[in-house]
Amino acid sequence: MITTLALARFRLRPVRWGWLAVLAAGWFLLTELLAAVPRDPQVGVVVARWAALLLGLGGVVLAAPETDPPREVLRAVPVPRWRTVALRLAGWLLLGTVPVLTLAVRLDGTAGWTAADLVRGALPNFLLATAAGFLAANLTSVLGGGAAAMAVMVGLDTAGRAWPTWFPVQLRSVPGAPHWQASRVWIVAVSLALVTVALLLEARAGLPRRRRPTARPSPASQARARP
Amino acid sequence: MTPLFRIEVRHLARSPLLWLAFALAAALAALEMSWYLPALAGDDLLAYTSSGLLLSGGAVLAGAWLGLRDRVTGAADLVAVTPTAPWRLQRARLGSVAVVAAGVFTVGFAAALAVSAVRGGRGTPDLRLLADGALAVVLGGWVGMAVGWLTGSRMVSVLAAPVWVVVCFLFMAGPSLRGISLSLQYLSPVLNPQDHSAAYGLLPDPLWPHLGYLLGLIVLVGVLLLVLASRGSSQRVPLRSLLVVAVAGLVLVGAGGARLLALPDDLLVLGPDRATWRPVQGESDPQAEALFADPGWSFPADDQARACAGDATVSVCVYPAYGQRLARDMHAAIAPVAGLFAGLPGAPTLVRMVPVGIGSCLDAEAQVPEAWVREPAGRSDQQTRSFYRAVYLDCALGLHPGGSEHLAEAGEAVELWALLASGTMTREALQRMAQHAETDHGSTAASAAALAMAELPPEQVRAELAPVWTRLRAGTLPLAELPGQRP
Repeated sequence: MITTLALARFRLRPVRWGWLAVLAAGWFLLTELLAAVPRDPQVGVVVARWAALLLGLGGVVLAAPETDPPREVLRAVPVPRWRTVALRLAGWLLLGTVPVLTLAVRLDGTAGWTAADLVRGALPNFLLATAAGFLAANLTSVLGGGAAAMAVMVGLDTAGRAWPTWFPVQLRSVPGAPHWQASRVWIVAVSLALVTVALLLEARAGLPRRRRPTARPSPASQARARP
Repeated sequence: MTPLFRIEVRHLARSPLLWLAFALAAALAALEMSWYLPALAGDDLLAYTSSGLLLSGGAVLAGAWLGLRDRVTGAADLVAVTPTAPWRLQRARLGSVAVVAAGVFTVGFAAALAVSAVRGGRGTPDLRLLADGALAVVLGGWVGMAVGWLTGSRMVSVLAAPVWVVVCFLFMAGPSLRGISLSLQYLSPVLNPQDHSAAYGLLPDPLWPHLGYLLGLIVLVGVLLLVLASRGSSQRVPLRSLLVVAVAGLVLVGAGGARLLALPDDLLVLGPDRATWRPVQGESDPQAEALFADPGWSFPADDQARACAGDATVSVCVYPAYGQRLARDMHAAIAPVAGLFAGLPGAPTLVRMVPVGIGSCLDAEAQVPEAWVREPAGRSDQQTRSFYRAVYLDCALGLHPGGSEHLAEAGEAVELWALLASGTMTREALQRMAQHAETDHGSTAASAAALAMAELPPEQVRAELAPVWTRLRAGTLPLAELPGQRP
């Protein structure tokens, strides 16, 4: 038990959780403030939903190379590193979900949106941004991952506007719209796929490289084998 | 200085952060432009608004990376001991960001205009939009540099870009802010003008003061970065010159900002004479609404709609920026129904594009608002042609175009007959309507009356309509008195 806890602490420690907690709390306070500013409550809901995407960018620090500088060393240890990043991701999802849920409860009834609708409208957005940032940062860096995650968001939003009838991921979909439920499911599915890809890549990167067996013994070994 | 500047330009020109933003901005601009009729004087604004904000966000990221680079790569100590003064290095970097950011925006803007021209867009683009967009992107890049330099945090740098875009967006949404009557929306680094006419430009036009305001902001951020760079170094920046530049920046920001805040939210163009243009603060102007509801009001002749197509019965004139092709398309849609009503009192002989948001009919002239024609988003070609015909038919049958009134039953019957006789609606479709009244085009009785009229030759219907035409337009003619109706 002690070993498990110690291992979990070891895995979580490189991420600045205090910083992320401040980010989540600051996000909540700022978003609640900004959502109340526009005269049209519908704009307030739009602000809250897009802010959830912004919060998801916090996920880029979980797996970025800068977080664990001796990455190659970590990958060589017997415990697979994908478990480390998976644990961090779970921690961030827990930490990030709390302010989103709290905000949804606080904005309940705004522009006809119930708290449940707000959760369905904002939480998948947060998850998508987190997943995209998690994968991209794992492959590049904090800055590269953040930029890629933002690009994915803008790209998906543009595609959703270009093909509103058939494109499955509709970030702007609202309750009652024809694709509301389906688009939420698609966003979650895409997010899970991105996370799975990131973890698989990490798992493959952590495998010890096997030396390819040679078809014929090398001349040097043959020379050594000769009497 | 020059080699350093060249090296930094080369670095930045290869920045994936900037080019990623460019690709997204290009996609968004292409999407926006596909929703509108092509016009160089109009697509320039679309290119500016749709790509300006995204490129500005990308420039924040690229600038932040430049601000962080020395620390991240471990070159900070090396740079600190080179003989080049830190503020000179910073100046070279600021210059490189300015050149590359402005260059990327210029490429995007020019590409959008080229696409518009290929699609048939005409008119003169407003090059002040190019200057304004380039300055906004440069400002984004320099703000990003300041964020990266001051915080040294990768995460803060990542968050700076979306926060920058959100701040711009909130400023753009200025008119809807609670309890504030100042025009805060013009203080956004990237403008989002709501009203634009190919003939009259931006309404109101905030570009000159906005250019000064942006230039002032850029100067202030640049001065701040140079001063910060020279901090702790023995090679000091020439403070006296910087102070003069900073004061000039403050004056530009103050003067430009004050003029921007004093602008109205909207400008209602009631005629070609600028003295008649009415400022609108807030969402609506009751006086303007009352004016538009007056059937006796129409937009005065302004000689702006000069691209015309027509025949002896009816002519269509639009602004030259939309090209004669639009006039020909509109005429081709309207001509078949116009031929049926030629010579009847009140039937329009001219359809003219106007810059105001509501149409009117007066003196045989149907006025069609530019915005209605410019935005065919979501409309099929068939729906667009139906829309053009509806503008003509509403006027011919005595309705105020775009108004809330509806045609009386006899008017509906004549409208349906006109669509049938001109070949734009099939007999089968009208028969289905007569049986089920399946659309909101007209009642079952009106559909049946239209079918009965269609049994007669069009010339005879027209001749029999002439004596009752005035009552028909006034909405007092009963269905039974229409041609072809059995007693």
